[in-house]
Amino acid sequence: MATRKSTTENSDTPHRIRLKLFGVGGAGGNAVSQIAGALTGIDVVAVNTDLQALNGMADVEKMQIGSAVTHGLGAGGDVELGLRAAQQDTERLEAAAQNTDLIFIVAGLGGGTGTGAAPVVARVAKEQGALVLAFAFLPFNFEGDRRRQQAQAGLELLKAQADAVICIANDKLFKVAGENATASDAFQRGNELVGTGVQAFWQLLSRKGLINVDFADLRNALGSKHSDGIFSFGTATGPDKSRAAVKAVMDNPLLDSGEILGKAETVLVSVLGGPDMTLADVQRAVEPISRATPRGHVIMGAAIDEAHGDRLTITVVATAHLVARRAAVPVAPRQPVGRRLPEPTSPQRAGNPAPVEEKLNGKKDALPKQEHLPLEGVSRGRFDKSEPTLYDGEDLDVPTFIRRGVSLKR
Amino acid sequence: MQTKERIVVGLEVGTSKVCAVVGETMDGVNLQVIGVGQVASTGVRKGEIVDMDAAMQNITAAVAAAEDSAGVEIHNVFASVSGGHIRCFNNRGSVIVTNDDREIGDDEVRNVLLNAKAVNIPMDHVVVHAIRQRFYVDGADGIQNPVRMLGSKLEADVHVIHGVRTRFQNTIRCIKQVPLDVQNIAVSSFASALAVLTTDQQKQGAVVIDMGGGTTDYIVYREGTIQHSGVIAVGGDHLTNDIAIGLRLPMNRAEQMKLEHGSLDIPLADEAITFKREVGLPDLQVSKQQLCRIMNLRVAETLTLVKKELERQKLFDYLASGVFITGGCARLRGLETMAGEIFALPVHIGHSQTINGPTSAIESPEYSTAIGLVRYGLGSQRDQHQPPTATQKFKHTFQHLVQKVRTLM
Repeated sequence: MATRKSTTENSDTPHRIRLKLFGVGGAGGNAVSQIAGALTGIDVVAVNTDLQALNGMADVEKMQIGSAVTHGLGAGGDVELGLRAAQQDTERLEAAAQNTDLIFIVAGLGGGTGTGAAPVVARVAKEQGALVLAFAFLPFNFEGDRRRQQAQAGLELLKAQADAVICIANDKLFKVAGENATASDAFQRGNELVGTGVQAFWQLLSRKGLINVDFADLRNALGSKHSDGIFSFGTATGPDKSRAAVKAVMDNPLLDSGEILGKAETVLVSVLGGPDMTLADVQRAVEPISRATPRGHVIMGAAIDEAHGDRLTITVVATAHLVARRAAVPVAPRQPVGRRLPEPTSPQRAGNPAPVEEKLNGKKDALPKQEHLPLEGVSRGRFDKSEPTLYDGEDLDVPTFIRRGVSLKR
Repeated sequence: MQTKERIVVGLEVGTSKVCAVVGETMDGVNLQVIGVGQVASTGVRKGEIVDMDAAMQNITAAVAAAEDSAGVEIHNVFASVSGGHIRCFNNRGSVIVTNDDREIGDDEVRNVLLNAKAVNIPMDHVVVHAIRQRFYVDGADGIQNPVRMLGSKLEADVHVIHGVRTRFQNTIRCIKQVPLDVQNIAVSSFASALAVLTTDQQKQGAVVIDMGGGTTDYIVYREGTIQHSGVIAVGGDHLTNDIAIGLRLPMNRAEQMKLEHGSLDIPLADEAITFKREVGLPDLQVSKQQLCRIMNLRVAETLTLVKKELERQKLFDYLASGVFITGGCARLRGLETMAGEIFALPVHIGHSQTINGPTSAIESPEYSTAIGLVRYGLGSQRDQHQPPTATQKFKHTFQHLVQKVRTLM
């Protein structure tokens, strides 16, 4: 059990975890500049094509990319432009990502720079040997189909590059902030959310906890698995704060009322409390979450922050591995059956000799795709003619390993 | 042979086997298993009859075997029913006590139970059980027997289990064609719980999961009464089917793999299971790791579905006695550990505890439904036992002869 005192001692040892936070694009930049103040000890870099947007920021390192392509203006919603801009400045990105263990990328998807450049930043960061976690804001529904499709395509690319992508749908932000919240309030909440998320990881790793989490644990859990994540937190005070905080976590619209935990493979639970937090508090906080995560690997950490007072904050990051889900393909025809989204290839065609995902994964095939099982092709064996056993929309007669997408080597 | 003792027979027409258990009681309380008859089932899928003729033959054979082993003639049985169509809910009924002296009598209790049962279920459904949970007198909670109490309003909570009428009738008809009389039917989970749980365990709260060949039936006891029940139409057949698809084996091979090599613990180091095939075909190798992985995923999923259901009903905190798993799948290697991990409760592989008899029958989890039916029969029969009529006897003897001739041929 490490105390605060040992933190200061540890801080100079060579094993200290080095973190960096990249905000890519307009939304990403805004987010990181807003949360930079709260995150001491993390280097924050805002990456954007738009010089004007960068100039308005404080507390952050600024990096303008693609000046030759955009001439210091924004990408104007053009994903290819964003991608080219980032590719042009790959070397500078490499330099910025060097010597870092864990890199957070915050980007708003749907626009030009965020959508196009974030996957490149992720790739570069990954190539520099860092564990890459991305927070992606998805556009509002009312922003229209084009932006949504663009965001989805970008998300696919980002998922292929980053170790884990945590999506925050703007529509859900509204639910968090409430109907009557102003637009700026809602966005601020979104940014705070990312801040809390980053902070949760930071606390887990920065060795001042009651219960520490090793970087190695995290790397094991997330590393190269291209996870897909969701994220929630809750704060409560009072005598029954653990339970209330758990309830807040579960009720958080971001978590879809806890259902999603059941599907998660890795769940990170970070508990932050004041100096009077007891181990029983931690246990009460973590236990219901572990219980809600039957299949998952739960990584927990607990930290004490003197400024936190009587409050107790629980942050939950749940991820499901894309690789596992992807493996459903071998039983299905190899063709991209039922893929609803446009092929996310258009950004790469723009003069990129080696498509990003090929470079990283060795084969083109490894690009995660939005997919669903072609039901008529799936074998039900001896239950072929019997009435399907439907449960929550799943046909239980289909072998579990097929529905879970577990690949069986032959 | 005319019996002086009371004979109660439980008949389970299951997906993997048809099984008849003969119980005998001298005093109407203690039961002794005196005979068991079992044959493989061929006419049932997922707990429901799909081939009447095949099911009928199976029943005839199983009952004949039970008769032989018990040395009695069987004329009527208690049968179990299962299937994904079975649903349940809890309901409360109430009546106003209109007596002058405000004393609650048997009539009021009967009326309140009728009232609680009178609920909207789908047109084609029929109530199988309406099990009383507790009574309230003028709002006062937790009354077990309100008879002779004073009060102006009597309420009762009941647990109602219902399902599709015609599907129950199929089972009953099939048994009647044998011909045997069906004295009553019970859902499998209820019957299993009667065999597996002691009264104390019922009071402490427990969940019984009967993982059979075609269905997984579960039932939850809380404070001595049934609080929740359900059927998931997934069972051992699905395991075999998964293996057959996953390892590309024919069904009988898959079944053999499951029984001989299957386990829910996925071995860390893979080993190959080699088996010989017909002359001329090369030996086949199967990866044990994959076999176990397929099984592990399926069973974990099924148990998780039960767990989810318990969570939905917020029953987790009332299960002090833990989880009792019975049915054929309870024999799966590694099940206890897996269930322990999933439920985080004490897990017992259920043996029939409430009845005496040969260990081979009592300790086999796959007999618990039929054994529980005997228990259920004893409770619901209570002096209704009538000697078989002459026609019945004749029919039976005739049928018995036919059966004997058939087996000889």
